[in-house]
Amino acid sequence: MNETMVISIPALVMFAVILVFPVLIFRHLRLRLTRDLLISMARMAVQLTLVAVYLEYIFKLDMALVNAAWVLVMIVVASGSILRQSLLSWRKCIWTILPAHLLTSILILTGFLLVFDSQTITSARYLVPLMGMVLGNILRSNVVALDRFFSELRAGVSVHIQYLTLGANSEEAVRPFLRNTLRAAVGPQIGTVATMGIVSLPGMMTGQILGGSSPAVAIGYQIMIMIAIFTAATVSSFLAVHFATKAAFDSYGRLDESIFLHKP
Amino acid sequence: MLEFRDVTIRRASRIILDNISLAVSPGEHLALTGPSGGGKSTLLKAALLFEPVDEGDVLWEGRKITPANLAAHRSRFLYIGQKPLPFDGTAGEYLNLPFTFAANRRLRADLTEQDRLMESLSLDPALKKSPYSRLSGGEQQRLTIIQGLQLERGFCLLDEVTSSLDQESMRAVIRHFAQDKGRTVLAVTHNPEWMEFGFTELRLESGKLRRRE
Repeated sequence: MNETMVISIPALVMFAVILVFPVLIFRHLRLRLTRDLLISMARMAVQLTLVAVYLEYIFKLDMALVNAAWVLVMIVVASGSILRQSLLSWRKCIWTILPAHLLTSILILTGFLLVFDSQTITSARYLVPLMGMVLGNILRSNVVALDRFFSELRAGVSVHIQYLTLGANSEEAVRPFLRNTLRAAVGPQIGTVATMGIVSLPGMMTGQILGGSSPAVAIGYQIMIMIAIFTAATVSSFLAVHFATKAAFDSYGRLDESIFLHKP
Repeated sequence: MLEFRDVTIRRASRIILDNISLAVSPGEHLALTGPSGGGKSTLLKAALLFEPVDEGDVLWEGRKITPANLAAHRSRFLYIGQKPLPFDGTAGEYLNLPFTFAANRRLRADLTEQDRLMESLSLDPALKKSPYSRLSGGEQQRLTIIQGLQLERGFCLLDEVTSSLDQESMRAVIRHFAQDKGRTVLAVTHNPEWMEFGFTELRLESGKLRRRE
């Protein structure tokens, strides 16, 4: 029973028929989301297929350097996706977000070294899915953080000015915004962590159980990954906003509108 | 002395300030009035160069303000906006906030002076123990004014600071600034009450300034 049952392609296609229900609901509400939904689903299928092919190869090769390079690719793609969703200019902000994610990844990897020996953690079977889960799960909080930070800063221009004239340096002047931002970005996750296992059976645990691990083994990984995700979300959101503020103001301490994709 | 020399500001091809020249002498009390959206707040922010100036210069004692002398320039001013600052903590901690900034670390809050200022703006000093977020908008606004007044800044830029206040506390705030002869005040307002307390009206309309004696 250690082998997981394979889902055949015809079975998957048949299963996709249940998408008819969201489509019917969209039509009923005249929500124009059907097109987006179908494109997104198709994209997902294609991307996952390509990644599966690629991962097969990486797993077969299993060289620490190649694995690390793949993690680097994930970091760059994650950073780009965060910037696109936060409507920030890639050219102006990639150098602020990339270091935030590199530093976060180094921190998390160092943490993993406390649990695994270096041989294990650098092997494809461990490194790729673990870092993938961490990076995939911090996208949302980074987008919320950057989005919230800049929208509050724009709405609170006079508050920012007031802080600066009260003698605050550039870091002290953005602190109230940073505080709200982090609360919005990672606050809800604290609640999610608390309901884990009761409300939701987490993805990693589900995967491992389906893969044949015993629930006892699975929870060890699940607890570890929850700690890793929460730490990474907080550290990366903080660093992303912190570094972004360095790029966001001109020499007069004014918000530089050219870092945004769409002018307000 | 603060001076605007031939200052023009355009926003999205609209002229907000049209070739304005203004010199504010030490100790002057000016009320900047005019229609909403007419550029009053922009002028105030331009004094600190928080608004980019398209043409002309902002000067202090005849010297042009550049990024090099900007920090020194800003440290002469107190800027108070319409919205109180967001803050977690008690009202007393809020008043002490400026003293937590690295630049003010050698200064200390004078608690008796705080109480005196609170009474002068008709606030009960006992409020200091209350959580700041529980106070009314008017109370927060007056605390914000006091917070700034504790710093020895000779020039106050006030952007509609009385808009959330009731009649009595509004008059207390205006009276306080009117009696403060040691400070220069430039107050953006829609309220004629400031002129009754001896402020000179400067009217900004269609990008032009007019002084009314």
